[in-house]
Amino acid sequence: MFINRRLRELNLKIVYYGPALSGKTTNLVYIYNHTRPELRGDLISLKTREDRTIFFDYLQLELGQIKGLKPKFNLYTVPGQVYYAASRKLVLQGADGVVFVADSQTYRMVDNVTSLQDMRGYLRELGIDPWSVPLVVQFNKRDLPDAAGVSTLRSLLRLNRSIPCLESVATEGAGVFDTLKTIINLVVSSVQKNI
Amino acid sequence: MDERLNFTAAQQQRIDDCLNTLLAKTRAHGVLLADATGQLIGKAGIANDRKATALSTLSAGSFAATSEMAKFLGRATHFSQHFHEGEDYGIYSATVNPSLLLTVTFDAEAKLGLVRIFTKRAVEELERITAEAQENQDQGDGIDEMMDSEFGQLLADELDSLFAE
Repeated sequence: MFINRRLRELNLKIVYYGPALSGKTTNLVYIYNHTRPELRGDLISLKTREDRTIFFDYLQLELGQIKGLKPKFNLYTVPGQVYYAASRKLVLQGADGVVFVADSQTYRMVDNVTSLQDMRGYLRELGIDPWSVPLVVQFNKRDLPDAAGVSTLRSLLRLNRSIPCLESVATEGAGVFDTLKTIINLVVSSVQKNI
Repeated sequence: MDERLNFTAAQQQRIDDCLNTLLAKTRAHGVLLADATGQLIGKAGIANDRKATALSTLSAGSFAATSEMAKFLGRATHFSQHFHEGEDYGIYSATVNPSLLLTVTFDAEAKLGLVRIFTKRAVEELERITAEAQENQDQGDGIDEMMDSEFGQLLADELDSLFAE
């Protein structure tokens, strides 16, 4: 979080984390394509020639003034592929909130669990308490035939009831804005508590 | 949460003045000050806010990547300066404190030697300001109090109207 007190701007960082091909970039692309241009910056993607994220994707959303304060949300994704672990940790630095994008397909469960554990480990290494950072879990790819049930996903990922979980089909946009709204509201509540 | 800097409006003004001075002395295109996570703290010469924010994000990313490279090479310290040289333009960055990054973008009109000298002076001034900011407690400007439950509700309403699915 950074507050520019002269310009009365509140800057918050939200990171979309998750295993490879779970739909993190798809979330950002959908948000970019369905947000009024005056509210968003360019979508910046540091990716390989094969269109895979190598470092991060970045999108800034800017709302109008609310009670004299202008909130700006900096959305990042991490690269999901296993060998970009160092980059994932770097992107998590300074995160005010995290959206964990899980792939609902049964065969991806181990990847989901490993990715969530790794994320908590990196947060700890960065001095961020993984249990207190605002977290929203998005169960993506709900349209696929092999998608596991929500309660199964919750239990396999050991998500307690206080963690909001939303279902999505990011390619069609279903659940994308609900996820974004949920994490923004959580982050702002957390900022209020910490002030 | 990790440690964050909290500048008063007066300190923020001094930062902006310092960046504007650096811009004028070096005849650079633009000057940016960001924290290690890419959050833009101040800028000069780049009128477009979003462009400046995107540049600061990329600059912080580049800096973070090279810091990790240093670590992998067994070096405990990060690089304190970066210089990227293009055909007719350059980007010079220096760390402040070292949690902040000062970046200068310039073309052939500016001289690298001058950019280095004036950036060093700006870093000294910015380090003085950040040292003072670390001692800031209550800002007394009412901004913290603005983020109350009403703010949260208004923000939620705004998000609902903007991002209706």
